[in-house]
Amino acid sequence: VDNIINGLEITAIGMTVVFFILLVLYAALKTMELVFAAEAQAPETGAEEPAALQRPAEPRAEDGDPDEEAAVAIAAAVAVHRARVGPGAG
Amino acid sequence: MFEKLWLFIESTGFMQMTPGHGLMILISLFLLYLGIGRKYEPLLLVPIGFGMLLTNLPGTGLMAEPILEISGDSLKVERIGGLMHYLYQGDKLGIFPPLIFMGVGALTDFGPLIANPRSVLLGAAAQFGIFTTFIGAILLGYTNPEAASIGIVGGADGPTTVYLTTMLAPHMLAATAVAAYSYMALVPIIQPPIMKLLTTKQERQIVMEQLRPVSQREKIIFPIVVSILVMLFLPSAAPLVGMLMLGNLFRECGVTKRLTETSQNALINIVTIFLGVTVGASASAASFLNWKTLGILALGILAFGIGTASGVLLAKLLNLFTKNKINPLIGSAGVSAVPMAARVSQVVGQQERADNFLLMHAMGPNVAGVIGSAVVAGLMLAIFG
Repeated sequence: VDNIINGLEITAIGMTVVFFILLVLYAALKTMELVFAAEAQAPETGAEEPAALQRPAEPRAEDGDPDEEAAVAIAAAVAVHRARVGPGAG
Repeated sequence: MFEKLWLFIESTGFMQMTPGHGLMILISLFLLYLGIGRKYEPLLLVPIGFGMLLTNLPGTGLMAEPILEISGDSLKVERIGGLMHYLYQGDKLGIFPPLIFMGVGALTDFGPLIANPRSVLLGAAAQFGIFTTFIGAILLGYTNPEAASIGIVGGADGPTTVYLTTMLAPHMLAATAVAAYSYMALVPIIQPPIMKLLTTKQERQIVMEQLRPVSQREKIIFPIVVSILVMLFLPSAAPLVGMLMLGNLFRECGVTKRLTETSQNALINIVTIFLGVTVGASASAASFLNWKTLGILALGILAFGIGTASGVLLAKLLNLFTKNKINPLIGSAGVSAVPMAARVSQVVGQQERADNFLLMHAMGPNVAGVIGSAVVAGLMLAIFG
């Protein structure tokens, strides 16, 4: 009888501990689900305001030199022109 | 001349053979047949069977302990000790099972568990088989540490069984390991009748909601959170859970490709060889051929059956209180045996409804069962270790 009582006590403690630890893990997973689901939905629900999206982009500090950009644009235009007219032209 | 010849003849294995050796050799050949001929867990049963064969060939001394003699200040080695004795230290000191767990972690995708946290509860319920068998073993006269080692067979997790048994009842290592790996191989035979018995046709046809996608960031956070939580509550589970989660972190963090590949392949394969061979080598006639071994085999299958039933029944219970129904067939996967138990849920589910895909849903309780059985092992160690 003592052995059975001992076994039952250990079973009760054991199952309680296992369920408790895994319930804590369940709660942690649920919290993660809430946090990451909210994060995943953010772009769809419009994290940025429409007005902000419509505003023209302002020049940023890391943008390139305007002269350099103009040179690149001119070079691209010349390349397109040459492709249309053929090699040797212009 | 004749005397020397006689000495040689006496030193051969034939002259040292006992009926116990003969029987153990037959058992080892049977395990080899199961592994090679029937393909039952061949990666484990082949090394276990061969290790058993090697150490039961008399006179090899493969498991012999070294004999040291201290004379004055010097230490003289009288006998160097057998190869298997040294390899066995990896089991005895609890090194091999956690290393295998690291490989298992590197191979396991915990995404289905993260996507469906209810799976954790099913993995916990399946551990009930361990404790009921523990009581059964005590009633049959086993000591508490022995009963704990037998009960853990119901966790259907080979490395956990080996780890706990070497710590609590090393004399039963071969029997519990053979029981655990054999029953893992027999999952497709043992589980379906229990699953069908405890569920209605309607329940088996439940189609579950598709799992949400899990981000890489969640998968990286998961092993860290599990490690912290489990080890703070149960420090004795650290070797198993810690290595499992380390392997998983290698897999998910995306910056340790070489470590992941090594854990998934070379490391786990090398350690599996050593673990299998040494577990087999620990099975001597004296430790294996007794009534306790038969009891271990019988109680092991009982643990497995109760674990399966508990998972299924908890899934049914959860269905009474939740809106999104769980197919109770995935509850049986809580007994670990990754991924075979999950495959069984899939197969039994598809027998009822061909378009029902339960595999990914069942992987949740399946991997939760691995964590659950490691937690139980840690708990048993904390109580009896």
